[in-house]
Amino acid sequence: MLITLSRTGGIIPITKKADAEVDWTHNQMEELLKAIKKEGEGPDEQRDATSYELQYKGETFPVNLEKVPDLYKKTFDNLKEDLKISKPGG
Amino acid sequence: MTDQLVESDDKNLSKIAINTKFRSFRFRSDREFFKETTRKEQNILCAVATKPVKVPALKMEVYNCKKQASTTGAALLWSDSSTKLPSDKDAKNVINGGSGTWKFYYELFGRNSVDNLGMAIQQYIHYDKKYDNAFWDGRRMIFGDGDGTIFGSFTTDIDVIGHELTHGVTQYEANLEYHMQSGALNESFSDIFGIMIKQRVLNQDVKQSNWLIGENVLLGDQYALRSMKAPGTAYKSHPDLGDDPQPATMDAFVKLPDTSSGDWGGVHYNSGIPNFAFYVAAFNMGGFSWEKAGRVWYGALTDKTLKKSATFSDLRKLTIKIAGTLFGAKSLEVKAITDGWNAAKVK
Repeated sequence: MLITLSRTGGIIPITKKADAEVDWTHNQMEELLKAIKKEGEGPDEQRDATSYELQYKGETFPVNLEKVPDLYKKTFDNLKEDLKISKPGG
Repeated sequence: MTDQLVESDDKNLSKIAINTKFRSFRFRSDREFFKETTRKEQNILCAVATKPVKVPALKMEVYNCKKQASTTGAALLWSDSSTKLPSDKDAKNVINGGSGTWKFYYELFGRNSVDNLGMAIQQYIHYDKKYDNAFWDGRRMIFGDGDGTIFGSFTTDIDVIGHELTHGVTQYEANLEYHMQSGALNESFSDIFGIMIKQRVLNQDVKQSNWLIGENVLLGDQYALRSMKAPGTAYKSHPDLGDDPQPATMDAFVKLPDTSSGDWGGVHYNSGIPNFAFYVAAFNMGGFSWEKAGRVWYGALTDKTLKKSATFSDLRKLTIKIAGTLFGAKSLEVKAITDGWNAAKVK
């Protein structure tokens, strides 16, 4: 399955994206999302900070990458490394 | 009378009387002494008697995140009690930037740190790998090293450091909501104070300054993050970023969704409009930006009537009002600020 990590925000607002094809089962994906999914931060908490979202099967989830379980860490490290500017700003 | 009481058989009365007699003698003696002193001697004696005043001092700590995307395991690299500066270049940059920012607010406006209560400025450097951003997280500053291709280290421009710390000041003052027009004002206050902090450190007047934010952070001699003098021109045909999207005037206001990917309604875009108003106002006043225009904008940021949801028009009215109070309703300063907002087409 295809997953997309995107990063938005920042002192100069840019959107960055990276894709990866993974062979995780549906249950593994559910387990992963349970661990890293977070409530979307409102603007007053974010300011110039950046935030990450994971897209999977047409749905988008705000995620906390600090909580990625060890099993999936390498994939997310690679995704972060591969992030490319998709479009400046919105 | 006192002499009679001293001779009294009542020991308590006698004791009170002798004490009274002694104090009277001392007061007479002191008066006689002071009568004979010169004005200079009196000033010295009064100064000695004054209680020492506690002068606020900068409190700062710098931590190294060691390229981890977390501040939890960061190591303390330097604090204001350290005797030596660290060898780390980014640490030196943030110490210099943090000090310049603290001095700016304290020496010009009497403000003691971000919260005006002497809060320690905590700065975290080397955050994450190739992290191309800097931000204020509500309590501390966090700086990335940049990707090395598009962005250099985010510690290299003092205006960026001043920008982020001013988000903290705004948080403790007007606390402008970070979306739509109030969010663009939040961003604009950060750019305005960021540029003034740079100008003051470099001793530049309004004509000498290039009015660029982040001219070293965005790599390439012809690029900067933002231009306050000419919003929309900080970068042109950048191979990765394209063109600077900032408008300078209200008729070009950018409408974006109120989401993270929509920059919360374009706060980093539309900040170009109040930025341009400030630039025109400060330029028309002449001299150093912080002396007049800066006083007015600081007055507005700390004015209790500036609402969290303030619009550009609200700030226009407030800055004109404050300038009228400071310099007179018919002053050149009021005219310069009115002309600034008119140039940005904010009514």
